[in-house]
Amino acid sequence: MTETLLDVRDLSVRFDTDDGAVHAVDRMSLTLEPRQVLGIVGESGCGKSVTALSILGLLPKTATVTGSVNFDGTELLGASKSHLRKVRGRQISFVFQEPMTSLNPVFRIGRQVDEVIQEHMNVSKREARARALELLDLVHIPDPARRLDEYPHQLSGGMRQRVMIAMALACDPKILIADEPTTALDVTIQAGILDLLREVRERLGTAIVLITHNLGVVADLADRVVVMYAGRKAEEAPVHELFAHPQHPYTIGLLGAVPRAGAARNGRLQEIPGRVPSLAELPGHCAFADRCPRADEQSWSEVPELREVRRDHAVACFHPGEQ
Amino acid sequence: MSDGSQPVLEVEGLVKHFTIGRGVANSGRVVHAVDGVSFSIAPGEVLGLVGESGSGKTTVGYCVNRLYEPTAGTIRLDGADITHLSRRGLRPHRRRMHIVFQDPYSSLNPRMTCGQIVGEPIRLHGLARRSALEGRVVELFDSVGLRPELRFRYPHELSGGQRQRVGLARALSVNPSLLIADEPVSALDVSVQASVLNLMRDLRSELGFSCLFISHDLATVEYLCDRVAVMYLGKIVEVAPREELFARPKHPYTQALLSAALEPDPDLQRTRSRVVLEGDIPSPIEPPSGCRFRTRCPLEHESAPRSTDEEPPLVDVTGRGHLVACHLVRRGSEAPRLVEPSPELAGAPDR
Repeated sequence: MTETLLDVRDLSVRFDTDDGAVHAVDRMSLTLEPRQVLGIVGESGCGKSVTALSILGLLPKTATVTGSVNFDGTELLGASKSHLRKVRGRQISFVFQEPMTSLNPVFRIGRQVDEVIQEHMNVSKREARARALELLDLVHIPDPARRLDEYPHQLSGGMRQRVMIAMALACDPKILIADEPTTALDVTIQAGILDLLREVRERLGTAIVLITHNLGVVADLADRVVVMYAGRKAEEAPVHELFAHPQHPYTIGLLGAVPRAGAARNGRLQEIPGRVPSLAELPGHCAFADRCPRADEQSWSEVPELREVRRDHAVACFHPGEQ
Repeated sequence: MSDGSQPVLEVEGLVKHFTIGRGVANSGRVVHAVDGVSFSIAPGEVLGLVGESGSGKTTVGYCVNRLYEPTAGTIRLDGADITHLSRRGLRPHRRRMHIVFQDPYSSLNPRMTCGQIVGEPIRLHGLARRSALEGRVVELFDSVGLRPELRFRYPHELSGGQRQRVGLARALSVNPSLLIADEPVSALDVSVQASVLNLMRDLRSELGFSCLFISHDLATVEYLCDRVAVMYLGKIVEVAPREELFARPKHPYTQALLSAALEPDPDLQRTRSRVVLEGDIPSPIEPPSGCRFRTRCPLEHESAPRSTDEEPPLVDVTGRGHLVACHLVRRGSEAPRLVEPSPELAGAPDR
């Protein structure tokens, strides 16, 4: 049994809004091992980002979070602000989707990178600058000294995302949480960022939680995949197992819905009828039932629990299977 | 085109420059968004226009639809030159082309019901009134897979996929011969994308319209298009029939683009080689001299110094409609290969 770096148990998140409660995440459990890349896939509104944000207590006050988040032996849910501050950025750090809005437009890149380093490490300005140069070099930004003197608008989207990753790596974190890190980027730039994340894992041994809606990104980088639907885990398996033997009808639907190379010869795309359900109330049945070709009486009356149907392959469905 | 029938759309030497910075300091700065683009679309053909952000693909679409005034070049729709027609002069031609926008949220008037939105072009062109109009709207809703009752709803009551269907129904309401689709599915969730793409494919074979399909996603283009044009920094760098382009890409940029596209299959994705291009797409304010791709081209050393001095023309290198703009690709010789295509991905076997 390998040691567990991050252990999330029965995490539920509820938002109290003017229109009533929204159950964004329902009894979600995750484990992350050192050096592992865990992919969390799902469509908009499935709760993947909320899960990640709740790990570090980054949700607004309207959120009620229950369950447990154990990081390296300490509980993070309900931990004091000062404790969380020590974990955030230093041991678990974040990279967000929007490299355009994550940097402050009125400060030079160097100042923003220095700030992160000085905030977390007891170093002089000069040492911080040296570390900043080292970091920009680590993420393969050409001519880093010049870049440090530039403003965010002078950098392209890909460069800004590299700067964000550099800042996230400033304190050599154990876990990097990347929320749609390549979604806003062009194809050729995206490939470079994925290569960089792969290198970070290999060279620094950082574990990565990779949140994305793109099955291609997961296929490229993840070791293990969790598929989320309507705030719940629908399926979890090692990456090769999941793509080769998907069990949940939703996963199978997603895989059939993406056009892929040779698309023209592969016939029609598979459609998933209907739409993602509203999360206003937790249904007392399988959340996917109204879109599922396999739904029967049981699907409409009970919530399927997660169970292992193949070795190391869990699925929340009454009628799992590849066909 | 080979059957000698008249193309639905002919674009020749299209140029669109935007002047920016009206102040003294910046005056005269020009964004070369589209810089000499030529292509044509045959009746019933779907031409895919692929490129990354800043390549000018959307600008081409907007110029064709005359949402932008072209700086130079000609646009012929069904043989009629519409390049510089006035708003009034353009009106009879508006029926023949319609556009579907990327964002299904901002492209529908929130104060109109979906039925009014779909019926508006019919009403404006005076094609039907009252009950005939109503009947046509119901028919259109049905053809795009929307329940007819939804015509009494407002756009905000519909999901993204449903809204995009309304946009499609509106565009097809007057039976245009050309549909311009600007990234019609990129704002939609994966599971919804598939049904809209299938719908477009069905409608196209049912109604036989031509389509300019603008997208950044290669797999989507492969799914839907007959021919594909690849744009880079305001120019078309390669055009070929779909199978030919995906099986035997010749321009180094096309090869890089294809190799960087992610496959939702871990075995395939992790064993294929990919070309990661250095640097970023240069600014269209000062595009590189000569070949625009030279600043990122992995083979630049082979074509220098020609790459800097001379702009490669877009020429047919196979004699069968495979056009490439690259100094290194010539008729009668093999194009340089950046990566070996993996056997699973290569389509038709090599000649």
